[in-house]
Formats: sequence, C-alpha cells, structure tokens
Amino acid sequence: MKQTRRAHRMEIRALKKNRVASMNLVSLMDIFTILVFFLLAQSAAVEVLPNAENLDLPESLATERARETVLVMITAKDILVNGQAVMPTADATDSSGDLTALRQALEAQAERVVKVGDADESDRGEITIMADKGLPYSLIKKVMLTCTQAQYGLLSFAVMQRDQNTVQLGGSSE
Amino acid sequence: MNITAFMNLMVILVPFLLITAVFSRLAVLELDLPSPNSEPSEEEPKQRLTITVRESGITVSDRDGVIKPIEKVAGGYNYAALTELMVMVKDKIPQETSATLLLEPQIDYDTVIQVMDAVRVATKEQTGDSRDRELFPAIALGDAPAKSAQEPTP
Repeated sequence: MKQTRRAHRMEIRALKKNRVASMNLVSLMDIFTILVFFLLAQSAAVEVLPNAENLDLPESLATERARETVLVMITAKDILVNGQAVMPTADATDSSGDLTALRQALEAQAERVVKVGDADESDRGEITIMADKGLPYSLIKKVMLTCTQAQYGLLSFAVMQRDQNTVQLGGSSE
Repeated sequence: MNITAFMNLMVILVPFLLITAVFSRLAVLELDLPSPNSEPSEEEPKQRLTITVRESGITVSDRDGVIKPIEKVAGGYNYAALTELMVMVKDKIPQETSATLLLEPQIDYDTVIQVMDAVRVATKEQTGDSRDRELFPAIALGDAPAKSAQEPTP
C-alpha cells in the first residue's frame, strides 16, 4: 500500500513534469509581428549608403533622399569609387588639375551603367559625393571637376539629416 | 497550435533587422552645375546672386554690386544673419531660385554645406511662418576671385 502510494505520487509528478508549460505568447507574437513588418518597411524605404567609420559627414537640413548612384567617397586617407579605393587623398591634394586615377575609375563605372533609350552622350548620370567635413574646398572642387570631366552631369553631396529643433538651438545662440 | 518555428523565425529576424536598420538618416544636396559641354562664361556670376565665402567672412552681392558683407562672429560664420539677408533678397526677387557660391580654396567642406543650407532654405523658426521657406535651392559652386579683383564693384 505504502509503495503503491509512492508510485502514485511519482506518477503524478512525472506527469506534471512532462506537461508542456503553457505560456501566453499571443501578445509577444503580436509585438514581434508588428516590429518585423515595421523594420522591413523601413529598410525597404531607405536607400542605404555605406557607412564608412572614418567619414564624418556634415549635417544639413536637406530632406531629399539618397538615390542609387555612383558613389564617390572622400575620406581623410583615400578616395573611393563605389567602395573601391582609387587613390590616396594626399595625392589628390597635391595634384593640380584633374585626378587621372579617379577619372579612369569613373569612366569604368560608366561602362557598367546600362543606358536607357538614346540617352545624351554628354550625360552619364549622377554622382553622390560623400566627403569628410574637415576637407578643404579645393579638394572637393578637384573631385567635382573630375566628375564633370568624366561626363557625369548631376552631382549631389551626401549629408547627415539634422533635426530642425537642434538647428534652432545652435543657430540662435549668440 | 505549434508556433515554435514561427517564434524561432521572429527571434532571428528581429535582431537582424534592428542591426541593419538605418537610424542616422542620410540625405543628399543637389548641385546646380552647368552641363559638362557648355562653355563656361565669365559673365554668368555677375548676373546672379552671388555669395562669396572667405576666411574673413561672407559677402553677398548681385549684379548691382555688394549687397552686404556679413562678418564672422565668435563661433564662426554667421549663418543666421546670412539667412535673414537671403529672406530679404528673396522678398525683392521672388522668382529667382538660383544662387552662386564662390569659395576660397581653404574653406572646409562643412562650411560649404552650412552656407548652402543657409542660402537654400529658411526654417520656420527663423521666418516665424508655419512652414519652412524655400529661398534659393539651385546653387552653383565656384572659386572666389582674388581679393584685389573683388574690391572694385561695377
């Protein structure tokens, strides 16, 4: 009798142990589902420009979204075209006139772009320039000149979008 | 209802998307440059509203000559004063949308962008309106003329 009672207890305990813990997961799943859709929509809407860690972009009030273009990055060390280093920045600073290495890289990029219809030969498309905010204008100008000589018609500067409230605080301070 | 697989998917997807999400918004500023094949004309800068940025300060001029020089303040260039002046100019010539920015070579890129911002748009805080005011969004860049050449105004 004693033994069977113990066996009975053990049986109940074993039953309890095996039972699947019933957690209420409905709200958790709701949150996850909403979060996943929100993040998916957000990542689809924003054109992602590569984020170089040694590149400090200036802040601006511009609201226009970045588009898929040829990307010229000017860091303190190198000049990169679509992520590939083409020449050191120091060489570009020293050179006078246009930058041959950069122009060749840009022309190579242009060959990859499929022309839609009978696009004007003088216009190869757009370039987005991402430059460090400490660089002098003379260097930016050389890069812009080279882009124009490589027959890219439309240049844009990539900037970090800034809140208007912080602008007001910064701008109105004496 | 077996939701384990779904939960696994969510647990993987949520951190992945959170990591790749871009929270610092990037934007672009478009330049209004002449097309590569057009002949550069010396006359053009004189026709348009011109903002000359020098180490010493900012000068705003149009075809009639210098409108107003804007001195530097303690913290750097006085962008707020520049925008104020641009609003005044815009009131006089509302149909004009383009401006030319002339810069000395050693001006840094951050200043270029900030001056472009000041010329491009006046925020609603600055104008006191309910919305931002567009000033001169089409901006071309150029070299500042040598100091001596700038003194005599036509």
